[in-house]
Amino acid sequence: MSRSNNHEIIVTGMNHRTAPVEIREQLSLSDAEIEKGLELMKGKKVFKEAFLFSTCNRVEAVFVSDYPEEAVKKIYEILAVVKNVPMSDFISSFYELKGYEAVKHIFRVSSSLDSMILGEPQILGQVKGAYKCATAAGSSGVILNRLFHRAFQAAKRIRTETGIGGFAVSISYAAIELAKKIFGELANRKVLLIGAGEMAELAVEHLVQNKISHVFVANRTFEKGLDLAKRFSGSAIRFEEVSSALEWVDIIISSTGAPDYIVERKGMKQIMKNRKHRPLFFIDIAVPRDIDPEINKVDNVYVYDVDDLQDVVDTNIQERKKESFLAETIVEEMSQNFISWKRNLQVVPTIVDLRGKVKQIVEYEIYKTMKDNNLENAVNSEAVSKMVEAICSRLLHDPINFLKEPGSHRDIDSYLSLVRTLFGLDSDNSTCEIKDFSRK
Amino acid sequence: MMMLAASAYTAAFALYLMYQIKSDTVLRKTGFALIIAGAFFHTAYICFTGFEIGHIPAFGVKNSLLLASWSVAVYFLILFLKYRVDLLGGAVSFFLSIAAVASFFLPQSGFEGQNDLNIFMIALHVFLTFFANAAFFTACIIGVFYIIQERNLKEKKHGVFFKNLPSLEILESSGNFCITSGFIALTAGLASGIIWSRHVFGYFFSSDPKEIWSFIVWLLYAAIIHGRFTSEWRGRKAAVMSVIGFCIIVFSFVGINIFMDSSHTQYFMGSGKI
Repeated sequence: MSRSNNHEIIVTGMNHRTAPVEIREQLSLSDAEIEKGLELMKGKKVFKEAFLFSTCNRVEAVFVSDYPEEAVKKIYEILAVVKNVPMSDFISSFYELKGYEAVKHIFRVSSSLDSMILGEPQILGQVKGAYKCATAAGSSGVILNRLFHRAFQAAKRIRTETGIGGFAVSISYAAIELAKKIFGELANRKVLLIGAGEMAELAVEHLVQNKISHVFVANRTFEKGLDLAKRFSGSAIRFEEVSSALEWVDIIISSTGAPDYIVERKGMKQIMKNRKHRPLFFIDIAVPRDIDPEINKVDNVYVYDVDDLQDVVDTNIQERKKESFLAETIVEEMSQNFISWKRNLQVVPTIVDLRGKVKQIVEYEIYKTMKDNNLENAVNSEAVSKMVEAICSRLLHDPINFLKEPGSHRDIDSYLSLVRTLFGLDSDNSTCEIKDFSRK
Repeated sequence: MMMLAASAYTAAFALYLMYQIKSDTVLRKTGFALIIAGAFFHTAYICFTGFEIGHIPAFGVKNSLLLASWSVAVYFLILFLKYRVDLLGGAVSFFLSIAAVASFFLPQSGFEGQNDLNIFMIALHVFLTFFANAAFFTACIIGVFYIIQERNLKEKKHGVFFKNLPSLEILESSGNFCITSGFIALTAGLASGIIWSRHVFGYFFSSDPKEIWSFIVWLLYAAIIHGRFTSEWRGRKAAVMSVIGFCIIVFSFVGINIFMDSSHTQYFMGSGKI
C-alpha cells in the first residue's frame, strides 16, 4: 500500500463532459443508494471521511484518505456493487483530483461554475442535500465539514458578488425578466395566453409563480381553452374576444399555429388610448408569428418574438461567462485559504510535540539547577513558569513559523519528517531523569 | 466640514461607478452610506454658516450652489425611503461631488439681513423653491433613466445600464412622485415669495424676468401633471417632458441670473440688500 501520511482530499467522479448520458443514467444514485454507498465506505479503513453526490449530470465521491490509490479503486468497486454495473463500463469516464485541485473542484461545483448551464441555482441545494446525508451517516469529519461549509460560503459569495445567476438563460425565464423590467412587480398583472404550447405554458407557470393576478386563456377550440385555464386556476375567453381583452390584460403570451397575424397594428393606437396608455407586453412564441412586429413601434407597447428572446438568452449566456471569470478568482482565493488551513491542521501535531519536548527539557534543567542550589521552593513560582514559556516561544518561533509557511510548492511532508527525526519526536530515547520528572 | 462632505460624495460616486462595472451590492450599499455621511456634514456646514451670518445662506453663487446641492442630497434620501432607483445614487453623487468641489473655488459673499420677519419669509421662500428645484432635478434624471430603459426594451439591445436600472413602472411612478412633490413645493414657494414681495415692496408681482420665467415653469409643470393625470403623457412622453421642464428651470435660474437684469440677480451675485 502506498501511504501518504497527510489526509489527502480526493475527488473522483464523472460528469456531463466526461461521460455520455447512457453511463450517467446507469450510475445515477438515489438517496438510499447514497446511504448504502456511504455505509460501505465507512466500513473500509482507507476512507477517513467520505461524501457521495449524484445529480442527473454527475456522480462524484469526495473523501479523505492516507491511501489515495487504493481508496479510488475501492470507490469503483463500491459503485459497481451499489449500481450493479461492471467496473469496466464506467472507469474510463472517471476523473480523479487531489489536494488543491480537488478543493477547487468542489468549490466550482457548488458555485455552479462546473454546471452544464453556468450559474444554475439548483446545484447548491443538491450539494447541501448530499452533505446532510454524509453528516447523518456520520461519514464526514473535521476536514470535509470545513470543506463543505467553505464551499457553501464560496457559492454564496459568488452569487452576491458576481452577476453569474443574474441573467435568465431560458426563453421562458428571459420573457419573465423582461416583463419585470417593464412592470416591476408582477402581482396584480393579468395575463392572456393565446393558443397552447409547451414553452408558452412554461412561461405562464413562471408568471403564476410570480403571483400574477389572473390568467385568461383564448383557444380556437373553447373547450381546450377551458381545460388549460383550469390548470392555471384562470378563466377561458372566446377567441373572438382577444382584441377586446387587449384593453384590460397586461401580458400576452401567444403560441398558435395560425399562418397570419392574430393581432395587427391597425387599431392598436385606439386600444392603447382605451387602456390609458398603460404598458402592454406581447411575448410571441409562435412560428410563424402571431403578433405584427410593427406593433412594437406603438408607444408603451413591447413586442418580443422567439428570436428576440433567443438573442436575450444568448447575450445572457455570454454575460454569465464574463461574470464567471470573477467567480473563478474567488474560487481560487478560497481554495488557497482552505489548503493553508489544512496544511496547518497537518502541522499542528508536530508543533505540539515539539513544544512539549522543548518545554520538558527546559523545565527539567531548571529544576535540576534549582535543586542543586537549594532553591527548590522557587521552582513552582510564576516567574519561573513565565520564563520557561518565554524560552520555549523564543527558541521555537522561527522553526514553527517555517513549518506553518514553508513557501509555496515545497513539500511539507519531508520537512515534517525531518523535524520529527531531528528532534526525535517519534523515538523514545529521552533520558530516564526527564521522563521521571515529567511524570511528577 | 465641506471638505468632509465633498470627500464623502466623491467616494460615493467612485463606488457607484465601480458597482456599474462589478455588480457587488456591498459597493452600492457603501456608496449610499457615504451619501448619507456627506449629507450629514453638508447639513452641519449649512447650519453653521447660517448661524454665523444670521440668515439662510442662499445668497451669492457659492452659497446658492451649496444650498441647491444640499436640497438635492436631502431630496434623494427622502425619495429613497419610497423608491429604490440604484443608479440614481450614482447620478446624484456625481452632481453632489462636482458641486461640493466647485464650491471651494468660489468666493464667499457678504450679505446682511435686517428684518426678522423678512428673514423668515425669505427662508421659507428659498427653502421651498430650492426643494422644488431639487425634486425637478431628480425627476429629470429619472426621466433620462426612463428614456434609456425604454430604448433598451424597444430596440431589444440591452445596453450597459439595463441590468442596474429598475423597471419602467418604478421609474414612472418615482418620476411622478418627484414632479408632484416638486410642484406642490414650487406653488408654496412662489406664494411665499409673492406675499413677501407684497409685504416689502407693496406689490405682488413685478414683471421681473425671473418672476415671469418662474410662472412659466409653474405653468409647464402644471401642464405635465395634467398630462399625466389624463394619461395622455404617459411613459416616454412624460419622461421627455420632465427633462425639458428641468432644462427650462436651469435657464431661468442660471440664464437669468447671469444674462438678464432681474431683482433676483443681486441676491444671486451676493450684492443686494433686503
